[in-house]
Amino acid sequence: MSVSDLISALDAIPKLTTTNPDIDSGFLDAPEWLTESYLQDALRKFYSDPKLKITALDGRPALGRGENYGGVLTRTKAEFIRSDGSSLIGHYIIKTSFESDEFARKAMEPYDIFNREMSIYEQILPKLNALLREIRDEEQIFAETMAVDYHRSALIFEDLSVRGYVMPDRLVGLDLKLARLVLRKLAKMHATSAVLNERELGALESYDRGMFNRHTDNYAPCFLGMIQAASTRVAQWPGYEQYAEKLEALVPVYMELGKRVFDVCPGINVLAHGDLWTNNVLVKYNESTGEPEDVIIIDFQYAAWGSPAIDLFYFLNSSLQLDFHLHHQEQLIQYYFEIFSSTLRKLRYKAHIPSLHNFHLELKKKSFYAMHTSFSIFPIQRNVETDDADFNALMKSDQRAINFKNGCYRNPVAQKILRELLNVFDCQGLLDADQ
Amino acid sequence: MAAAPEWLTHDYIEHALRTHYKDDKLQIVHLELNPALGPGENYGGVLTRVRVRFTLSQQSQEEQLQNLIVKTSIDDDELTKELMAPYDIYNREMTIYEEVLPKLNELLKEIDEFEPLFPTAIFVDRERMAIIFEDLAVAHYVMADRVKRLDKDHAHLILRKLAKMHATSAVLNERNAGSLEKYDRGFFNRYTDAYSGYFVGGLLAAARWMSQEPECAQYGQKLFELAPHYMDIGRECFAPLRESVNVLAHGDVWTNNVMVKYDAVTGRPVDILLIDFQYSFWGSPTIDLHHFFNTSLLEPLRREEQGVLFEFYHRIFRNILTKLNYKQNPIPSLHQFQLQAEEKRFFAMHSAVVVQPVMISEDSTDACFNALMNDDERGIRFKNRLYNNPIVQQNLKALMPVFDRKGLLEVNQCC
Repeated sequence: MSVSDLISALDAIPKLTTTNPDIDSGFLDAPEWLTESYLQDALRKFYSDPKLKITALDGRPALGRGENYGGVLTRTKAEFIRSDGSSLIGHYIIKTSFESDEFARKAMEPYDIFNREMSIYEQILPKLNALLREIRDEEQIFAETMAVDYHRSALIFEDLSVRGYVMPDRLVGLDLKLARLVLRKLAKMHATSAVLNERELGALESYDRGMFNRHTDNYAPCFLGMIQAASTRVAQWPGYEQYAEKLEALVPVYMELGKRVFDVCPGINVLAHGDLWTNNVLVKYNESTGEPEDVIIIDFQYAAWGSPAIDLFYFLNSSLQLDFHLHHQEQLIQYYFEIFSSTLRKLRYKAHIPSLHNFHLELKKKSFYAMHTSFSIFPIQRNVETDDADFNALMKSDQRAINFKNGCYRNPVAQKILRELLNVFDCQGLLDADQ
Repeated sequence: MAAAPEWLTHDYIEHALRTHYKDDKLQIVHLELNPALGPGENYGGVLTRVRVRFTLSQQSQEEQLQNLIVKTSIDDDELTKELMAPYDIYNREMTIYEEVLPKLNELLKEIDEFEPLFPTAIFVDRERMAIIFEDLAVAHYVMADRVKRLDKDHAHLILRKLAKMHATSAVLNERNAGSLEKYDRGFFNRYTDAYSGYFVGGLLAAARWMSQEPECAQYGQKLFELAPHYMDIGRECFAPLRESVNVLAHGDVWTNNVMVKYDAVTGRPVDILLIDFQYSFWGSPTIDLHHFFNTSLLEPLRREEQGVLFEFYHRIFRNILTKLNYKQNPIPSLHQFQLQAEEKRFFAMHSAVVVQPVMISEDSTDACFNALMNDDERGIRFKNRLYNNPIVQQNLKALMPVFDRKGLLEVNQCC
């Protein structure tokens, strides 16, 4: 796929329908406080230039159905003049919470998504960057944060699409080259977070609200609903009846098994991204060759302190092309670990760094998450029936939600993953209720 | 072939039979002795086949026919004797046949499991280091072809017997206050490194071959660096796992240490018995599985279906432990058992890289225990030749990347 193909693909994603095209000074379908003067104030603060003035503004929703269940994204292009007379064009992504949707707000509340994400962007990520600079590593892992607004739960980032970063096609999955790029960034992010936590005496350990956590089961309707829909689909395949039964039998213990993945255990722990899949990764392709050159990781809503397995199993079981998903995970983990351990060593990490063999063993204790991601998450992310693809459909248990989930398993891609991996995970004992 | 020991006489055998049958007046009518194995078939002992016709005092008119195998120690040179002494293989095997295996059989009977797992020992002679068995060949048990290796049918039979042996040994140990935990002289142990001539020598021969193959050269380099640490890593691997179910592992499960009975019509295996308990030790059951899979399974079974075979074994293992009310440690779920297998996977690498080439070698030049265990010119040549085998080369080319990405070629892998 060429770069221009990708950009057209992004543009072709159906946009949220706009309700009031005339309202406001340039923002479509955004919260009412998101005005030109709001953005102007943010830019003034960022550039430390109280005389900065916006001359033109164009804002529209950034993503379509099925692309993002975590909030509202608005893409903005602003032309402005600074006090020194220079004229600039800035591109920004503004991220806000689900203001209008009561259900979504309530469901997401215990996950404390926006506050956590904001404190990560404001405090943590800059420190991780600083640690990389300490060892003269100039690599950029995250998008630059322009502004953090705790009061309105809003974040403003540089819009990386201007620098040529695009979202990969979530329906295709990443190849090895892209996977390695992502894992390189992830390894450095994990390593610096482990070091930061060590130096700041456990400061990151309070991030304990990943997708499974010991504070809330609010996402249970999503996860359990998906596993039940999977079971329904699998039961229709001759010879697979016992797998359908096992999936169904997992339901009563499923949330507990998920929580154990996120429980902090002895071994090496990191600040996990918590939702690392294709749509939370931006890719820069070389303009002439079309080869991927760089990636940036975005969207830290679900960051949690815990095992690197949280990110590794989630990423490797959601975001790869089929062949690599099935056959290449171990060597990708080896690739990740080489960078992870050497970054830790360069930063003089004091605690014990396991051997590769023992690292695999630590990860394997969390293998439930590989099964969960492949069977419950992957089908959501590869879903092509996008009409009803929204937060309510994911998180509720009404007929619409059930239909949506069943639709995820109508997808031949999701079915292929089930067929290929049911036996594999079963042999590992990961379909047993008493695992 | 090695000749029968000189003390294996008419009188001796008569005495052994009299003891076993508890019949002082038992009389041998006819006796035939023949050597049983060739070079490269068994480095663990001298086997002599005994065909004997005798009468019992109660039925003095009726002749009984018995076929026996007498297993005696190899009459090694002094150097080898000294080398092998710390492994104490003959005493161990005698003790296991005399004291342990019969008790495992009793445990099986407790839960109405009646199929035999091993041959019965008729007579054990500690003074001469000899064991007399019923000759299984008579009941049509044979040794499978070690070069051809074993398919799924064989594997299921072996795994079933192994699972029962393992499970009952765990229970026996629990009921007998840890009586099996003293078995700590397997191939890797803390008393001796005598097998390093074979193991490290084999590893280096493998490394030398790999260095000449462009696609394997990086692995060869890692093996060279691994060599000085190899025996330590093996020792770590053999250590029992804490808070897990440990067992009396067979220690040397491979094609030539099982006897197979085939159906006369279909040719499929219908039963197997485990033999040869010289290297049994207390430790993780997964070690036996890694050794068996990587020395004796056909491809692509070994590369593609190990997961299913582990599950098959585990189901029976857990079943027997549960029926016998095992309580000492939590009985592992399948997932937990797979974690154990991963923890001990160094032994899979060892079995594939160092051991299997010996097991499937068709080159009988220099094929003797001495060449295996020693690092002299002859020993080095013998080991180098093992890696000229195209099957060995094909296997290792496929497997080395797997072992590498699991971190099993690293010097610090135990850290």
